[in-house]
This record gives sequence, structure tokens and C-alpha cells, in this order.
Amino acid sequence: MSIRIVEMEKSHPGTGAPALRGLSMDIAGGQVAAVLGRSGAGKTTLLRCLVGLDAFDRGSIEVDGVTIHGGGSEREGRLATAKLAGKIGLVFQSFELFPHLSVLDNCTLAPIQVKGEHRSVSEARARRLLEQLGLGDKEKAYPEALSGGQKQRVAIARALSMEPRVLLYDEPTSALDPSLKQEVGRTLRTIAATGITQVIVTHDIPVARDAADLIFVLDKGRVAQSGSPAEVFGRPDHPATAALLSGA
Amino acid sequence: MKMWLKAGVLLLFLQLLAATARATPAEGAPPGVPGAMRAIHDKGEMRWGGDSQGGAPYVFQDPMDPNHLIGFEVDLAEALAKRLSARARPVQGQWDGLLELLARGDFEVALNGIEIADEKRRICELSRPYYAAAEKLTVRRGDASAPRSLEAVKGRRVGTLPGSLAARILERAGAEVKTYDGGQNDIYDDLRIGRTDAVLLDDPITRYYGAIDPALEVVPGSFGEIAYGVALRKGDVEATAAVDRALGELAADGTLARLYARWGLWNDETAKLLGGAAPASDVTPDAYDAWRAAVGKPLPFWTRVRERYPATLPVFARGAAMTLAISLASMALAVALGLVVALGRAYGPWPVKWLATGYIELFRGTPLLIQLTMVYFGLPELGLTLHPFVAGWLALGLNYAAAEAENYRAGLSSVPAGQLDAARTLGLTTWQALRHVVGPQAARVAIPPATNDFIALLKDSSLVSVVTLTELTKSYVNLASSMRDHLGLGALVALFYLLLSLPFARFARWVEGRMGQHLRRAA
Repeated sequence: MSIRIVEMEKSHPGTGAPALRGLSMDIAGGQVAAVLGRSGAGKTTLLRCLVGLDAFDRGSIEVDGVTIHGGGSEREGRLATAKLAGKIGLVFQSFELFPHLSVLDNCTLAPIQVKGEHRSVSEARARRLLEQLGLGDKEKAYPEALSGGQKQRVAIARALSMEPRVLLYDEPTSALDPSLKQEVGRTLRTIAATGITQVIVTHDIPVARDAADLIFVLDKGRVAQSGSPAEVFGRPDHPATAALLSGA
Repeated sequence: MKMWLKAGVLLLFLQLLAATARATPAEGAPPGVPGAMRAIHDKGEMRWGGDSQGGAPYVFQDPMDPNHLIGFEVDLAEALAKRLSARARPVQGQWDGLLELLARGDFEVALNGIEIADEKRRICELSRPYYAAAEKLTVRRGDASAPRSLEAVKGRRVGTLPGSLAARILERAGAEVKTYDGGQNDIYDDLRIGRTDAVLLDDPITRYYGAIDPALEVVPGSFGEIAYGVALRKGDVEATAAVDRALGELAADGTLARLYARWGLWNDETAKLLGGAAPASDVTPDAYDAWRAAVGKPLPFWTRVRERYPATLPVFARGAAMTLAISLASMALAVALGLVVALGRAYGPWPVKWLATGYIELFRGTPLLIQLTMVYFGLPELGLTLHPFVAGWLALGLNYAAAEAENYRAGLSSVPAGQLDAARTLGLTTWQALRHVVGPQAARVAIPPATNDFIALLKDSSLVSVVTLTELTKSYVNLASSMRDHLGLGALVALFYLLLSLPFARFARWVEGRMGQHLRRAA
């Protein structure tokens, strides 16, 4: 269940300025990788390309034996990622729960509509996931009634309902109280134990240090430095890493 | 009386259309409309166009029982139809649009105080005159400064009907002319309360609205002479000759004289016109007396409520049914078409976006009346003659579709872009995302204004009266004119409109409450 990104290139649709310039990553199954970098380093672009919201210009993504090549139109890009539909999930920074649906329905909508599952199958899986994430009593609640941490776990459960191989997180700690940050680490480890590969894009160095097996520091659309937290934070060779650590 | 066509939007647009698409040059009749005599013969029925809003004594609702049309022209049309071996069937049409409706083929003849004038012969045929009358000046009784001669009206405010011979006489005399689109009683009401200093109108109107008011006084003498004729489709020489012949027979056998005498309309001008055949001495003006008895003295409010209003209820109910039917049908079209336009604008490829935007701007930015006029009167020139209900439905539906599309757009844009992204990352197609994620959230924003639009549509549907449909507003205007009662009947018609709109207002609040339950975004 590894994910391999090879020489990914992408320019901004409007300006044509390069956002990703030959970015490559290799993450083994079940690992937690943290992607760090200053604003504009290409983190959000990378996420949007991985989940198929944006098409990329060149390079490839390989997940679970399926390879997607860049270079098509927006529409072709979307069709290509449809092949990956469900294999890569994303937990949005603002969660983007569906406010008109209950917690349970948030988790069953996609499996029923996309996979054509029977409702009872989807609901059984959703209940199991919610139970695992400590939300067993919230299935009838609506998103407006949940705390920030609960919303995040519903968003995770919703993504997991599609049984993805890879789960991406956009700034998972930015909307949470500091007291909840440890809980994020615990959740990440629980999910890692099931063999799912996870990638968190974050500014939050303590969370990256605690939860990640692997660190990627992005700079100007490329990987500037990578390695285990000990390697990267212990020897910040690249100026971008040093700048992040110094908080500049 | 109220003569020659008002130079309004109707005519203007017809001429514009005719200039661009002259498929049927001078003939006037759209392709496929048969000669009037053939239509009358085939159906055994002569459809004649008139406007009951015009009021007494021409064509109007019986003030004692508004379910019946009466008037000297109703009697005349029946006598004329009998001569042509057919039944007479009245067709309601806005007075200043009668000649267009005639050309369109909505009826075989127009018979409603149509002045014989040369400029009219360009667009229709006119029969020999069937009635002649003087123009009469009416002033306030005892008003020492009132204008009592043509010289004296210079610079004074004088009321009359738009486009009439009286209006032209007044303009030539330098009067400040005030014209009215409503019923004749409005014109005399304004004189009585001092908004005008005099009224100049055809003798029949003066007799029925001016002379019966004790506060008013008719100045003796004639200020001009007018003759009425039957209008037929341009080029239909056969039917014109047949109508001329029939009118000649009716004049010769004394039918016309008797008819005018019953309505209290016999006069020297008509006597001369008909060759001096006076009505028999035993004919009493019973029809005129009945009118005087019915409306001469205003009844106290509660008496009207008890004795007069019950008979108006069926008229209002029929009008309300038409209003509701055309509004519901139009709204259904607007909701469906609006959705297509809004989705095309939001998610379509650029030509579709461009078309949808153009559609919205075109239909929002031009008056509904013009759209309706073009559909009803304009399309027949291109060979497409629509039923009045279909034309009204189409015009209202197309117009409101633009408004609904804008509502949906507001609804769609109220849903954060992240919702669509989230649905897509879960693998939903755009269509699935619209149906299950974006749509339900957008509906909450779009439905309350859509309900408001429906209530606005209920009221805008009154415009379909220009395409001969008698809905609630037209029913009221006609009744108010024939019963000379604006306030009481106005309250009654307001009640009918509220009965129609209140359930929808309540429905809107219910839907809003239901849909809003879980949609406050806390994230």
C-alpha cells in the first residue's frame, strides 16, 4: 500500500508560475509521513493533485499498483483519479462535513452512491469506524452540534468509509485546541496500525516530530530534505529546514 | 368613443416585427386564418371582439347580475349574427388591442365603439356606420368658471379616452388633455372631485356616466361627430360586404332604431344615418332605465354587500381559477427551466454559460408586457399562432425562469466550494455531488425567494388580460366599471388575491423551517 510520486510538475493555471517542480516521494505502506514547508512551498498543490481536485502537468503517482500520469486536461485528470477514487482520501483543514446530513449519513453517502453498496453494509462499517474513533454515541448528531475535535474524527471516519489505501490530512491541528493535539497523534497511530499510509501536511513541527515516521521538507516545489524526524530535525542541512525550525 | 388605437407598445412592437418579418404583407391576417364568412358558416358562430371594461352602454356586465354581458352592442351583435345565420359569441379583448386580436384571428369581427377613420383602413376593413353620435362636453354643475365652448377649453384640464376623436379635438383646441385607461366612470369621478375641469366624450358615454350624475351638467350642443363601424380583417372584402348588407337590412326593418331607443341612444345623427326611420312610438328606453335604477344612486355599503356582491362571486371565482391555473403552470415551467439555466451557467462549458447568462439578462431586463405581446401578437406573423393560455403560460414561464435561475445561482454560490471538493474526493461525480451535497444546501437559500416570486407571479399574471384571458384583476376592473363601485369590489378582489397567496406564504415559512434545521454552519 505504498505511495510513490515521481517527478511531479505542476504550474498555476492562472499565472503559469511553477508550483511543483519535479517533486518525488516514496512512502511505504502503513507509514505516517509529514510534509512541512513554508506557505507557497507547494504543500496544498501537492494535496489537491493527489486527490484529483487538480490535474498535474508531468510525472506520475502510483498507489497500490495503479499509476496515474500527468499531462491531461482538468477533466481527464479527474477521470484518471476516478480510477483512484476511494484509494486516496483527504481530511480537509475545515473538515467540510455535509451540514445537512447526520454523522452516520456523512459516512455512508459516498459508499452508497459511488460503490453502490447496500445501505446496511455502509451503515455497519460506518458504525464500526465511529466506534473506533470514539464517536459511537454521535451517529444521529448533525455536524453543527459537534466540537472541533469530534468534527475532525467524523471527517476521518467519512474518508475511511471509502476504505482508502492512503489518507491525507491538510493542517490537521490548525483548527484544534492545543489540548487536542495529542489526540491527533493517537488517532494517526491507530489508523497506521491498519496498514493505511498517511500523509499530513502541516506547519506544526511538534506534531510532525511525535507522529511521523518520515519527514519531507518542501521548498519551491521540490523536496528539499527528507528522512526520519531524528535525521531531519537533528541535522537541518537545508536552509529551508533550518528556517522552519527557527520559526522564521 | 375611445377611438383609434393608442400608440402603445402593442402597435409599436407589431410594426417592428412586421418590418423585420413581412411574411404576410398588407393582408393583416396571419397565414392560415380563413375568411370570416367561411369561419362563421363552418362553426355556425360569429365570434365578435369587445372589451367589457369599456362599460355601458356598449358591452358590459349586467350590474344586477355580472355573470351576463349586456349592452347595445351585445344586442347589435346578436341581431347581426342572426342575419348571417349564426350565433353571436362575445370574445373578451383589451379595447386598444382589438384590431390586433382581429388580425390574429381571435374573432371574426371587432364590434365595440370602433370609430370609422381613414387611418384605420390600413390595418382592417370597416363596415358602413351603424351608429352616429355627437361629442358632448360635461362640466361640474354650478361651476361658474367651467369651460362651456371649444374656445374656452384652451389651457384647461379636460378628461377623455386615449386615442379618441374627442382627444384629437381637445388637442387641436389647445386643452390640457388627461386620458384614462380604466373605465369611463373614472373620468367623470375625476371631474366631480375637481381633478379636471371638463370631460369631452361620445354622446352614449355622456348619457350613461355624465348625465346621470346630479353633480354634473352636460353642455348643450355638439363638439364634433363620430360614427361607429364593424371592423373586419384587412382584405376580407366578402365578409365586409356581407356585414354591410346585414346592417342595411337591420336599418331598413327598424331593428336598429328599436335597439337604440331601448338603450336611450336614439339621436338626430343616427336618424340621419339610418335614413330617418324613427323608432316606433311604443318602444320605451327600458334598458337605459334599468341601468339608471342599478347604478344611478350609489347604494349604501352593506346593501351592496347583501344584494349585489353575492352575484359577483362566481365572476371572481372564475377569475381566480384562471389566475391560479396560469400561475401554477407558469411557475412549474419557471422552476424547471430556471434550474437548467442556472446549472448551465454554473457548470456548463463556456458557450452554454454564455447562452444562459444572455437568457437571464434578456428576460430580466425587458418588460414582461413586451415579451407577452411578442409571443401573442408577434409569433403569428411568423406563422405560429398560440392559444391565449399557452401564450400567457409561455411568456410568464420564460420570464420567471430567469428570476428562478438567479435564485438557484444565489443558492449554489452560498454553498462553500469546499463542499464540492469534499464530495469529489470521496469519489462522487459532479452530478452526484450536486444532487446529494450542494443541491440540498442551495435549496434552503433558493426556496424562500422562489416562493416570493410565485406570489409576485400571481400578481403579474394580471398581464395576461391583454391576450384575452379574463383573470382576477380583469374581472375586478370589468365589474368595477359596470357596477360603478371601485372600493367595495376592490376589497373583495383583494380578499381573493390573499386567499390565493397566503397558503403559499405559509408554505414558504414551513419549508424554510424544515430545511433550515441542520444547516447552520458551525465549522
